[in-house]
Amino acid sequence: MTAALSPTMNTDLPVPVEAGLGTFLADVAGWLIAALASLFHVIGLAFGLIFDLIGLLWWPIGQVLGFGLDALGLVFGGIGSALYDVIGAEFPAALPYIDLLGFGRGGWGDDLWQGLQLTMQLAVIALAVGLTIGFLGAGAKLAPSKFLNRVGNLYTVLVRGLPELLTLLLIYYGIQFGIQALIELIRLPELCAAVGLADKLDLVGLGDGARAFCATETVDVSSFVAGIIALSLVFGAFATEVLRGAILAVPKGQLEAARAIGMSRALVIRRILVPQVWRFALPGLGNLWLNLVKDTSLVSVIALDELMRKTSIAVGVTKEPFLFYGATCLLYLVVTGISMTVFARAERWASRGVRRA
Amino acid sequence: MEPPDVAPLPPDVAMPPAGDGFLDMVLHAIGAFFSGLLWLLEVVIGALVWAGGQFKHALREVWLFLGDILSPLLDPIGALIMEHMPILGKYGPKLLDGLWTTVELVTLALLIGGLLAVPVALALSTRFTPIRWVATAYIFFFRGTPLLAQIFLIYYGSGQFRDFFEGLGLWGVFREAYWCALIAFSLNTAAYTAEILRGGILGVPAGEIEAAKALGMSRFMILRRVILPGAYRIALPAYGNEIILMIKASAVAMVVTILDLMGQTKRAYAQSFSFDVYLYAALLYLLLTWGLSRAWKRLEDWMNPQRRPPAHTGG
Repeated sequence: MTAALSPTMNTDLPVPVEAGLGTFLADVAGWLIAALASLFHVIGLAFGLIFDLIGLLWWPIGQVLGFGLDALGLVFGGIGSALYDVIGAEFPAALPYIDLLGFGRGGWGDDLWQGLQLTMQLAVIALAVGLTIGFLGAGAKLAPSKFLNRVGNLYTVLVRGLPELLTLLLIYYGIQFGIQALIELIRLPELCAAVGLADKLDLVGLGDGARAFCATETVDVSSFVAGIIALSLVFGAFATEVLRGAILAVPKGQLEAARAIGMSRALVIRRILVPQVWRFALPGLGNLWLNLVKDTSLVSVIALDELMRKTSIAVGVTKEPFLFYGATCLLYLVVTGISMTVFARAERWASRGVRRA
Repeated sequence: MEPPDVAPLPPDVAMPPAGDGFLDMVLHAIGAFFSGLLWLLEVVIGALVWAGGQFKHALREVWLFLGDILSPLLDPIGALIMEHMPILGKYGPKLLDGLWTTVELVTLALLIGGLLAVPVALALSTRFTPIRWVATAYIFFFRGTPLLAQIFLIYYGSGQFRDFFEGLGLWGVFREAYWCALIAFSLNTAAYTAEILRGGILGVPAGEIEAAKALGMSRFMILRRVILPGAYRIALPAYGNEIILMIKASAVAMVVTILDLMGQTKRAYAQSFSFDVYLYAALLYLLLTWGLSRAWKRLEDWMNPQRRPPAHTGG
């Protein structure tokens, strides 16, 4: 507390003498914000520690896995070079194209591979976030509250009626303009100075971070984050409808019967509702997942280096559009093909014990 | 959008060199058939483009005439918009122009794709395995890859086969971003529509067909009176969804420099750095999709008379 009352602190305040109560309130607010920031910092540190620990635990497993992958790589590398030699002997005209798609020098295979990894990261994270949004949305739409119903309806109508590309750009530019407008609205630097945030955070050694934060004027939104937000919103809106339909498709009589034989509400949800919701929702969710994988290509428009953009870069350098776009199409087909198989399996698993027509 | 020159080719371009023997004759006939087909296609497409241009011209005249008549009413509104919402006043007409392009692209793609979908759906349900595989592969490709990749593949990829397309006399088509986008959209929507059609045909209850057979209807009559009406009814909601999806997907035409609604929006944003243009574009897209879904609901009710409340019979 003594640091707050020190003279260096008071020079920062715009009106130090007259407004006694105002200064006091600003001081209190400053301490609260500083405490909150420190708390978040500690939470962040704790999470960092946890992840470090997890990493440490996984390290030996990673080593073993890596060894296995190396061995696999050697095997496939051998097969690949043998194939390469065969093709070189039989169809020498095809070799330059294979070199272009390969992982060697002058080959774009590693770039495409990196792009594919980023694409899959986008899709998987958006799937997790979007499913959560979908469950919340379905809950809101089926809730007895009129207000929640309206909110859920507005969300699905808005997002489902807009092109995914436009949603993405709205999010991307909207966040930038929104944060900028917010900074101007609360007049961030003056607010920081008024509550003396940086000085208070100096106590815990976070003052420099606070000063940098307070001096923020423009924000550059990472295209990865914007892409994830937009894709999750789109997936969530469609998943809301799918899950709502699936929940409604479970016969009411079953739920009533379960209640009648004395199951608790939670048990009814866990034993009766959720297993059948999966059964009804999986076909729809499978389609949504395929759409999600395809929609990740739109994020290339805001310059995220995922598969589509890597391909366009490769085309720009090599002037071989048909080869690279064709190869990328094949990569997407591999992903969607595997997904279809997995979802077919999952559907069979979810509808086990149901008589076939 | 400028229609490219589609000068009708003489029908002997793709003919193989003359030889003797039965095989040569057959090849000759096939070549003549295909070049004739191509020529016919070009004539038809040329006529369609010409008619479309005339229609647009007439529509424009009507639009200008209406503007002249209503100018005392519209001018103050325009002045008001220019004064209070300069962004809307300046870029609104551009956005409407883009909206027209979007509607035009989607309508054409749906027409062509709908026509293409019928043979694909038939090929899907044929017993002849190779044809079924071709149709399955076609649908798998167009449903499994992003539309963005398909447009790039057609627009940039065709440039590598310039000589081939010039030989066919089709280079004028593949040079234009507009036609490439239209081709990509048509092939894409044809794949989805074929699946929807097949689902509709399979969804007609077997009992209805058996009952029709038992009544002694002929196969054609069963198709006309039982299968197709049932299939349309079943497929209608899914096809409405497909139209809305197509409208939304058409926004990617922007990436190949087409000035559809999305392209005009992006351009207006680049010129004005005003976030508002995106909101106006969102409003236009919402109006389009929402209006369409409403209209489709009406159509569904009209096509499903059995769902209507029974009429009063005076009893």
